[in-house]
Amino acid sequence: MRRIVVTGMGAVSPLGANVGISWARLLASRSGIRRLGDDVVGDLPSKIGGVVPSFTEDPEGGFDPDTVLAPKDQRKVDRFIIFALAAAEEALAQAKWKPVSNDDRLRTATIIASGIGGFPAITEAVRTVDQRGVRRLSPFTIPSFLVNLAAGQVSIRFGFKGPLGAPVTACAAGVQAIGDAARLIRSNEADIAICGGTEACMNIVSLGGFAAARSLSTGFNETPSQASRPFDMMRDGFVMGEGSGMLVIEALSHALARGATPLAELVGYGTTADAHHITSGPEDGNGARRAMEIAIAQAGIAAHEIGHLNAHATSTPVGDLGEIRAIKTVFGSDNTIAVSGTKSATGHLLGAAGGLEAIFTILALKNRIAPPTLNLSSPDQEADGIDFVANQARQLDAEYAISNGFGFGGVNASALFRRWT
Amino acid sequence: MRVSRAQAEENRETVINVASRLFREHGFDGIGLKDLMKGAGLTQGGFYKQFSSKDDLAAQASRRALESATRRWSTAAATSSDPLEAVMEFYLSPGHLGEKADGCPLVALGSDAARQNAEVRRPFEDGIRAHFEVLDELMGDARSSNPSGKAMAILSLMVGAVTLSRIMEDESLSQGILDAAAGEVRRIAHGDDVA
Repeated sequence: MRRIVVTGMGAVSPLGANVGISWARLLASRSGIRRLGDDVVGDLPSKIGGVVPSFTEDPEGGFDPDTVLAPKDQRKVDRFIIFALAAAEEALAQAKWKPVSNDDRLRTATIIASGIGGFPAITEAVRTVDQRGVRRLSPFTIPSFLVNLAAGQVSIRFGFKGPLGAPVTACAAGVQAIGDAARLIRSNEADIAICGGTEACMNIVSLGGFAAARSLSTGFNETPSQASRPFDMMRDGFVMGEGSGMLVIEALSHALARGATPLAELVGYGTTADAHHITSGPEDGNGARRAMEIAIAQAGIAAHEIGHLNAHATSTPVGDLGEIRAIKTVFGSDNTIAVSGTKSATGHLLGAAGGLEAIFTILALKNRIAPPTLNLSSPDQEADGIDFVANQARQLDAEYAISNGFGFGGVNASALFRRWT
Repeated sequence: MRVSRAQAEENRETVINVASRLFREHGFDGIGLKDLMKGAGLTQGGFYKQFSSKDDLAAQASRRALESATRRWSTAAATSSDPLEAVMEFYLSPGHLGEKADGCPLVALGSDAARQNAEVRRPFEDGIRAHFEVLDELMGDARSSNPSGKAMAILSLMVGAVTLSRIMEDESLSQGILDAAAGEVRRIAHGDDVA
């Protein structure tokens, strides 16, 4: 079987506009979650979110969309596409992948997920129709919000002519994009892929929808940085985040032939369905457990060889509990695996979460340090026997690390990485 | 005449592709810049806008040749239920002997590469590692960052066999070398690791 390595990473997150700053701030236990403006949240019970900081407010780590796309072109795409272009550019630059020959272009896949797509653009289009009439819609309305236009725009900008796809499996979508891309390489339909997820849907309609489903945290509006608290007894829902996380993955032989430097090896991937409920997982987390087990079996290793887990851990009471039970079933209850919930710092990037957390997982392996789970002062008693990396980053000596992503509809996915030496 | 950026990029690609074939056919020292550029349909004057030296072009053309050779191996391996046989079928074949310009750059330029500077040797080293990796993958259970002894022995045997076979005027001896190599490759692949 073809082996697959990661050779590039790119991110835009509530912690900052690239991988370096996001990782540095994550390790420093900084939070990217803040109070949202009343113009965004209205009278919603949840008033907080993980917003990507702007360059103006945060010159050290903020995001400047003008570096990605000319202002006049920004109006033709929704925000999730701008994030995707930025993260893809960073990942491709690190991988030094800039195909010019036709062969290289044909062998490059683009698989970019989004859980929601251009929801703000859809919202605006409906407002335009209601307030100004249907004839006032822009010709760019549809391509600004279609989920696959993140992948489409990236493929157009960089000239990638291989397979293109866009998983839309809610909060598992980012992990599935990586898994789908890996399969394309394994089946020799491509040699290299840009893959990951992107999301930017923070507006009143999507926040209102998640609030109506009682998924969002509402008890920490005055202390936003304490709101996302995976595995903590006081957790009361997830905090929505935005951003993008992208990997360049490729066949190891391809990486070697072009002299690229592997950052980690992608050794396993598993995905399953719960067949249980539209928004909650089963109490025993069996779908999550099976996703992890399939990834571990694909890698041909034993669970005890894995030293670190970047948990899905959204900070919802039921979701975290199911994952706790899945973790204990797979890894036992004797504190053998260091578990981090990085949504505590970034919020939940929905379809982009899998991409961003894959990056954090790889960096944990590479730099031998596990990122902190913020606000974990009194862990859920059900989690006795799980070794959480609580509040402070900590040294890690692991050869393997795994990252989880689970979504509405009962979809689960896990990606397993090996430290590259 | 001013050349557009896209045109300049395309020209550069053409030079690399043409050079990757012509170097394999004639050797690094067997062809000059003038003929290389002529082969690409360009004038010699444009060369130094595109490349810093002949070695720079040699390195890039070699990288291109080795990437494409690696892709040929992995594609052959992927399209067969017996990947090792699929690789040997094209590699240890009379057809490959005739493909001097499009065939394996390790055979066509291997001993020449050893006499070049580090810049030109580097793509060969990377390409050899990539070939080892494809071999380890198709033999199954590739897990290490280092190549197995089997992969090293098999590649050495195959490259050597095509090199020698290509020299021979005696067709039956030429074929005999390929057949003998194929037999040994099978024996190595199915035996214990040699390293």
